[in-house]
Amino acid sequence: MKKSLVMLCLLLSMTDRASGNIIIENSWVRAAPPETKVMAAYMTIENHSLKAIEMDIKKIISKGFTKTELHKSSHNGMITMEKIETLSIKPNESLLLEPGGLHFMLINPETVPLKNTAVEMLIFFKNENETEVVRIEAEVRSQKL
Amino acid sequence: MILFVIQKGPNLIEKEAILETGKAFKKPLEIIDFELKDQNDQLYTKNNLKNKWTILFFGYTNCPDVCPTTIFKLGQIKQHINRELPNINLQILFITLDPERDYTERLKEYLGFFDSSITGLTGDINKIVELTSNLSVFFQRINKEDGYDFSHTASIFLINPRAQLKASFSPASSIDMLNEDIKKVVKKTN
Repeated sequence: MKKSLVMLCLLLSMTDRASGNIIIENSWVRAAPPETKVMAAYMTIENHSLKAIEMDIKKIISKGFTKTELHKSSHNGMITMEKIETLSIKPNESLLLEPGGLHFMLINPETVPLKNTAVEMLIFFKNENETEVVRIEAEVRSQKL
Repeated sequence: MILFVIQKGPNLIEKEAILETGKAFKKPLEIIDFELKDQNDQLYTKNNLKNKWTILFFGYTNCPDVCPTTIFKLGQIKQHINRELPNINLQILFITLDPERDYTERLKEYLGFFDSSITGLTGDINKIVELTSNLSVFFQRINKEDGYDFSHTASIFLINPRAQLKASFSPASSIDMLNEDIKKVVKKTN
């Protein structure tokens, strides 16, 4: 059995940082009213490795929420939202999660986080031999600045 | 899964000027009579559409992505149009497709958070279906293990001061392009 290499990057600041091959930038969560059951998180994820890396979606954790899913909104005459089960990022490519497109769905908050606070997320990636975990703190704000 | 279907709509209406972000109708579509409640629990009818221009879109408050994005966009558009065309008395109207969860208090909380200048409407689902049919808006409830979402027609509608559908736009368009097209339609009509 191959031994997995787990790299966990613990970050101290509010800004996003790199963890190994993956860099996550510009992460934010859209602020929402107190009774909200689902929130959306957006960010840019860059794969700086020489191999494609797969997001391990089922393992993703958003602190304070019971579940995190990856969804994609589409506008082809209809607005539809589809749950994404698997997603791979090619070598040296980046993935944009943005309003009206790909986004994380943060489901059932214990309490809805306030504006100017942050949501801690652990985002898992894997390829043949490695698992990489990136910890981010996504700022809660009204709209992308 | 519950399916609401299109009954009739403005598909036979003659088109007017070609817009970048949608289509304008040379012969506007009459909006049917309707009775819904706004977020302050006040009756809202077709008469409330008269003597002002209205941007209308349909959605639901449990939508975490597209609906808040559209609200943000329309708030920006309203500010721009009111600066450029201060006499047209533009209002933004949000009609929920999910009255089961979007009762008036929920609408008030939701719109109060995102943009309290937007009027939100809810009410009897059958009345909402009549209105969506009138405007050729399709919506479908998608059940999930922990709730439900909707797929629905994406259009943003522009209603003239006679309570007639004058144009429809794609919400995926940029704010600048929507501003220009809305102004084009209003100026051509006024």
